[in-house]
Amino acid sequence: MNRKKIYPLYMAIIPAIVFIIFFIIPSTVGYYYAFTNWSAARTDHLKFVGLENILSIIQSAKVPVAFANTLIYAVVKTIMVTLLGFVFAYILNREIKTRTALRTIYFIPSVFSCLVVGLIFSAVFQTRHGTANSILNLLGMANVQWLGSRGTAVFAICVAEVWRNVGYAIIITLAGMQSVSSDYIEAGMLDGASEWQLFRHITLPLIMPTVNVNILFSMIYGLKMFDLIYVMTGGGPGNATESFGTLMMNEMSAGRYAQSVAVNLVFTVLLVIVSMAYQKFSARWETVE
Amino acid sequence: MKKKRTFANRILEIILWLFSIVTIYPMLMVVLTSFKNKGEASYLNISLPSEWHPENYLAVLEKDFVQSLFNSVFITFVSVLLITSLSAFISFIIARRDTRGCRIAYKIITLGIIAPFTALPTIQLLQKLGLYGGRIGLCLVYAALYLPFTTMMLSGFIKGIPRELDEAAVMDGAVGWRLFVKVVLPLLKPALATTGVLNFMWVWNELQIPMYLLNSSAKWTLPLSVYNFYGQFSRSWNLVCADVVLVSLPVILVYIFAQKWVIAGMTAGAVKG
Amino acid sequence: MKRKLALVLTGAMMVSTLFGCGGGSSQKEAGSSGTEAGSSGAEAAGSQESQDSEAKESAPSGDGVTLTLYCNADDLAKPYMQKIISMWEESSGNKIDQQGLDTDNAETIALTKFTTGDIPDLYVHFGNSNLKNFNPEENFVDWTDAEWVADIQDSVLPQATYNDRIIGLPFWEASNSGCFYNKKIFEELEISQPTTQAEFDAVCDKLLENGIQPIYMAAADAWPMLYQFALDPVLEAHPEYIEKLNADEMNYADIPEFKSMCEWFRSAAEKGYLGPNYASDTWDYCSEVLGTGEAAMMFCWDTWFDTDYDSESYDYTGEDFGIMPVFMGTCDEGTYEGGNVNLMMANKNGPNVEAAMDFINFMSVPDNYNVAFEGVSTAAVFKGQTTNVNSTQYEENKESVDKLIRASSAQPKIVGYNQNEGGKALLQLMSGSISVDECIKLIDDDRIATLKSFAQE
Repeated sequence: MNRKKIYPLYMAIIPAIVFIIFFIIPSTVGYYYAFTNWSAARTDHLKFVGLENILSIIQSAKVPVAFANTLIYAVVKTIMVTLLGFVFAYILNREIKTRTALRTIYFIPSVFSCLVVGLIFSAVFQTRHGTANSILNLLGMANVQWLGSRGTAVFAICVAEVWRNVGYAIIITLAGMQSVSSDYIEAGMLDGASEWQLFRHITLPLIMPTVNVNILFSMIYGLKMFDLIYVMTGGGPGNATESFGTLMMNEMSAGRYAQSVAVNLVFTVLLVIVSMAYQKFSARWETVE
Repeated sequence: MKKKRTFANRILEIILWLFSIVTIYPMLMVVLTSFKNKGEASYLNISLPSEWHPENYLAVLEKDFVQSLFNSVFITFVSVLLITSLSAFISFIIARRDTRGCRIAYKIITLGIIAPFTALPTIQLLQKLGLYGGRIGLCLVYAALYLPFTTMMLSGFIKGIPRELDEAAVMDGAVGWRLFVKVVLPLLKPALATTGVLNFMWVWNELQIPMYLLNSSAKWTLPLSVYNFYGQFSRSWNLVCADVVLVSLPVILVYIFAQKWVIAGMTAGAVKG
Repeated sequence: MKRKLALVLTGAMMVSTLFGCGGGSSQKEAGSSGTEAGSSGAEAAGSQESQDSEAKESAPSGDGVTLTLYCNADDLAKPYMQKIISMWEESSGNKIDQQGLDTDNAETIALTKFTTGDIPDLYVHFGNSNLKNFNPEENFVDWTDAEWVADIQDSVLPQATYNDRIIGLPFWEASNSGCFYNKKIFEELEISQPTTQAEFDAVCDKLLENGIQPIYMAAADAWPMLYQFALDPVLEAHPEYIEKLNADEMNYADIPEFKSMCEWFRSAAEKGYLGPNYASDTWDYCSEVLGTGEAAMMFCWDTWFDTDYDSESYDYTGEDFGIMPVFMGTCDEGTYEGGNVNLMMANKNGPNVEAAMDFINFMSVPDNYNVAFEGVSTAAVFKGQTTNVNSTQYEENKESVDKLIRASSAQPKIVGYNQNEGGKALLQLMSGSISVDECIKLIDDDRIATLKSFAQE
């Protein structure tokens, strides 16, 4: 029978409509404002200003730092979260007695909102009484101002972000592993395959689509990261930990709406490029496997 | 062979428990701090409170707790239902039809996770539709906002379900909805539980979007009204922590409940090749 | 653009009726907006309409009305605000739906809602230059001829004024800002209150010699650097600066004192006046650092010691602290900053404007505000205010405060003045990563960007 009959389009109409009306339309309409002189003080009779806002954003001295930071956050987060998520999921998928308890414990950090995780980790990395410094003191080392300089502050933010996201990665990867048929594994074991061989030739290729989705999400949400930075350092000290997200927020709260949308637009273009590139790359990867 | 495996598992188990300190420590810190007085709480560490103050919870609970709990449950339940079902339908079609149009649609949806929520046009749109200020409008916005993520996840899972299963069902005359319900849905349960839990968490915890889209505090969600009650989030750590515990507890319970589904899916619903 | 959008939306509307999700509680509103979707220009009218039906829906079944109130969540939680609201609710039988907005984004959220036509019956705002964004002339009740205007203290009245009209009731605590110091530590070390910049520096040096951090500055949070203290005296001496800055005829770099201020911040950091950890010090730890005596001074406001300082947990209580002038390198005699007040404003186009005005008039009655402010530590905002208490700090050093206090002017009057961005730039200067001139340029660029976004063409 014809695929078009087996999988009729009308099943997708309602989801498509909801998505277009409540998301695509408002988001794209929003970008139009990047080319106007929209501001808190001026909401009527907007004037079209062309690329003025975009150009002033690109030329701004804050952008290179924010750009570098945004990439650091995204890359560090993606690597750590995917790797740790994969390792933990792989272990938790084995026959371990206390598996359920462990799974719950590892998942709980994901329950907290960015705001809460930010508050917790700003306490952990506080110079006074912070847990991080207490550990250093125990080891006989002096206090470090974790949130007081760029390198350590970026590190602290990455730690918090990874802590919060490993739980997601674990359950997503785990769900992927569980959809791998145990028949395949059993067949492999009957053939006398070693654990490594089973992993390399059965589990890994079959869950690659899930891992890919995971990587893509970590990357995109890593690039979009903002609340955590906002709570932990407010982009400071100075502008040292600023990301595109916090730049956008700064423009917004100063009432410079058009500029805020312009930052957003520049940033979205960047995100689209990254995600397209990744999808191309991962598609090739999957076919090679 | 089997013995070696059990031994390795035992070692891994111990390692996991040791490593879980990293996870447990901050959580323990939150729970203990929620029982301290203001002064002790300012240190935010894991020492036991010198005096236990369960009344911190009462202070947080005082205002309109039942109403906002109801709102939270209602909004989250409807939103998650919408997100999950709409995403499941569209993923089913996209993953299975696999035409050029579908691949383009998939790309567009992917771009959807990149575009951020924009408050102003969304409010204006909801006003035109007559949905602004109400809970249903909020749920629909959530449905659209989280659809990309869920669709990407689910279509990945559906691709992993062998097409041969569909073909067998089609022989029996099942197409469209019936095919989906009979073949795909049972196998999708673990994935649905997983994405459902994630969506539940995001919707439940959201602070900004409901503040923009709801227009009376009678419709506010739990995190909003709890936050609003004592406002000063950064000063009384004991109250902040009590709030965090209260607001997070339902999500943890939901996860523990849904976990059964995830596990059940693993043993019973595993895909037979 | 707008017409196109309306077209798309009309299409969307038709589609939305197809899938029937808009049922339930919103049916009523869907009906009213259906008529409006066709005409593209009827935006404001339409939102007004849906707001009306919303108000009816949320009103209690009795005779009273429910007023909506938007306010920053922190501010709304103040005891005197809660008190006056419940007093009015009891006496009038009406209700106030209090919507406390997320503190960090309160103004952005409120502004977004105003822009879409969702304007509450009552709105609370710090009447600074940002108030312009809310279009006060069109949106808020003009109180210029109200009886209570005569009862407002002369020093406060300018803050309730917008374009020569009184647009809101200043119902707030008024504080005195300055430099707060630990009296016991000063006594022990036989330090007397400094009266000039040089004496202040000597005090800091002496504290340092005795192993005490002179000033606690929560520079990591940026705003507590409070650099308006340095600018207020300058602007008082040269009021024309404000006009010139706002007209884009002058830059911060043209103000010599601005440079002195930057230099003061840098040298204070270098000499260790701000301790070793200022770059990561946050406002949350003020109580502790002052309370344990680790640091001896802090720039702050007097009511803070009453409402926020944790007297119970530490060695020193709030009463152990005294107030003295701030010295930031720009004004040799030092300065204090007068209070900033929140305004309660009423939506003049709202459906419940009479009830909203009744509430504000209720707030302005001496018998009522005196109950709400009973025992609250604040300077009097109303002439008839008797039950408030002046802060101990103020009482002890009344003469100096009264002599050197200046109305806050940098923050409310300079368009684009930004505590956060300014603080961030100063912190970069203090850490040595930029020069004084670069720092001034950073602060100024940010101000000019905002100024430009304000300019009407």
